[in-house]
Amino acid sequence: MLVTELEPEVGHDLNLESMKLLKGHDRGYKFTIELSPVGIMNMDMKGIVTSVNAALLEGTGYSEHEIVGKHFTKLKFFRAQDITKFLKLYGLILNRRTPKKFQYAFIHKDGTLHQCETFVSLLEAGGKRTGIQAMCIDTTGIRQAEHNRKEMLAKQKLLNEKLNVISQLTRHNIRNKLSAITGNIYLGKKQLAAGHKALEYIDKIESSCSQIVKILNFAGVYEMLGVEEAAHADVEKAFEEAVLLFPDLGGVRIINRCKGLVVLADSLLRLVFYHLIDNTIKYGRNVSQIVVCYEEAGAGKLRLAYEDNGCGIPQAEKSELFSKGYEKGSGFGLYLVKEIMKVYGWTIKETGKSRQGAKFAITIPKTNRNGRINYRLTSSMNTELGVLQELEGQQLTDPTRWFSASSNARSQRTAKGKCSD
Amino acid sequence: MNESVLVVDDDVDVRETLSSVLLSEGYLVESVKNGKEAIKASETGYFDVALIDMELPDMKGIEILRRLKEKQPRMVMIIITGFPSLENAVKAVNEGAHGYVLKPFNVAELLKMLRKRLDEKAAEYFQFRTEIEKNTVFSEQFKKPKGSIFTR
Repeated sequence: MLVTELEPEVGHDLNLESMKLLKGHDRGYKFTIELSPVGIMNMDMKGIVTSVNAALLEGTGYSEHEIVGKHFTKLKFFRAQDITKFLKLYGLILNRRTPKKFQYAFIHKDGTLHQCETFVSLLEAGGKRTGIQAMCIDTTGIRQAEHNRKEMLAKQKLLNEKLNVISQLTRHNIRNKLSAITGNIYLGKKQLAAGHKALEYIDKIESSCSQIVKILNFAGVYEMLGVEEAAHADVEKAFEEAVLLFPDLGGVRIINRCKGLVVLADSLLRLVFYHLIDNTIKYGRNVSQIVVCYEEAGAGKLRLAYEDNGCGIPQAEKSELFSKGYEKGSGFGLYLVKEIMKVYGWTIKETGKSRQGAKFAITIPKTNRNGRINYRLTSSMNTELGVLQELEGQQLTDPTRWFSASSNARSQRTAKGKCSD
Repeated sequence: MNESVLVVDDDVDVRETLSSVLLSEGYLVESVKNGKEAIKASETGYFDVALIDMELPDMKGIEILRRLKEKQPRMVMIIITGFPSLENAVKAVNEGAHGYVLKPFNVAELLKMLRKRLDEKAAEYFQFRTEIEKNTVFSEQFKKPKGSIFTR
């Protein structure tokens, strides 16, 4: 209801200034209604349409002449089956039991079915009910987009599942057949005398098989990157489990100093430790000890340190250490470690000195990209922190010295032998 | 006496190749294609080692490992798999597997591992027997009343 319509009822209470002001607001209101992108339809107490805006005309495809002056039940864009429901709603609205919003479908003049969400309100003036205003939003596009999105997500999920099954099965079958090839190569070689010309070719076949395996291993892990939901993982346990995978560590002593540290990670954390240990065992030369420990690195960061007392990594090789195809080994191990770190939002650096052992420093920020806490220290950590603070300024390069100051019982494990698988 | 190996794998090529390799190394070999046959074989024959594929059509390798361990606790169990996963490796080791080998296996390394595990098991058993015998002798002596103690 506009101010101009109210004037006879309330005019005697308003002075001229107020009337001018209200009329100004009235024009503004009309303007807003007319320009609103939402379809608006006003009805009187009897249900006769008194006005509609341009958006409603455009949305339904009908002219003002075809809508205004008609009872809403006679409007052609409403479906016959909805009329009873609308009448009931109309009664509720008039009795001030207004539903906030409701949804229905209407038929555009061109015959197409549209979805609509409508907000209704009771119009009142001077405490009297004067009619109803309906604001209608055509949600056809939104609903269609939502439907398409859901459909696409379902298709994508199905495709991913299929791809996963296919790739796993394919890799599994390839591995089986490669087992048969390598087994038969072994048997074939046994039949040939040393120095036989055919041995050279067989060695080449063996080398190609070995390359295929490296590619398969890489593909298998790479496929898992960022897929698994991160959860809080006990670092001490993850490291111990990685150690368990080496039935033969060649007498290398393991000092696991990660008690009390819990980090936000997936099962690939074990793989990180596995590759670091594997690297030490394979290329460390004369390693007798591996230490893994942690310390707070200031500014809401934590540093997880892994180090061995082997031959270290030559300065010239450091820049390529985490690159795919780094010439030692498969060329995938440390590359994968770096990729896993990227997914976690952590960083890794090799900070050891050549001939003094390899040292990997992993920096973990307090929170991840989504604001989730990346690490937490349980009470047992406080004792450790005390020890670490005491040792502040000391070099970590001598693991024995680093940990010797703690009076706590150390979690140590000495494994015999070296990796055989 | 030759040591006996039970090969459990559903892939015929793997089964045949492994059997040939093991036979060529002097082991006695029986190969089966699923868990059910593996359990049946363990009921009728004794095996020093079982090489068990992790994924079989009728049951998981871990389950076979558990069932075989119940029947023959001294058997050396080695899991072999074409579905490498650290999760499974940890599970297998925790369940008592003596080894976890990825396919395709390096035959020389597999044989070396097999030999090592068998030797370790034999040494363990020897030690166990020695302990038992020592304890038996000790308890026999302890039970026997010494003349001097009972003499007034």
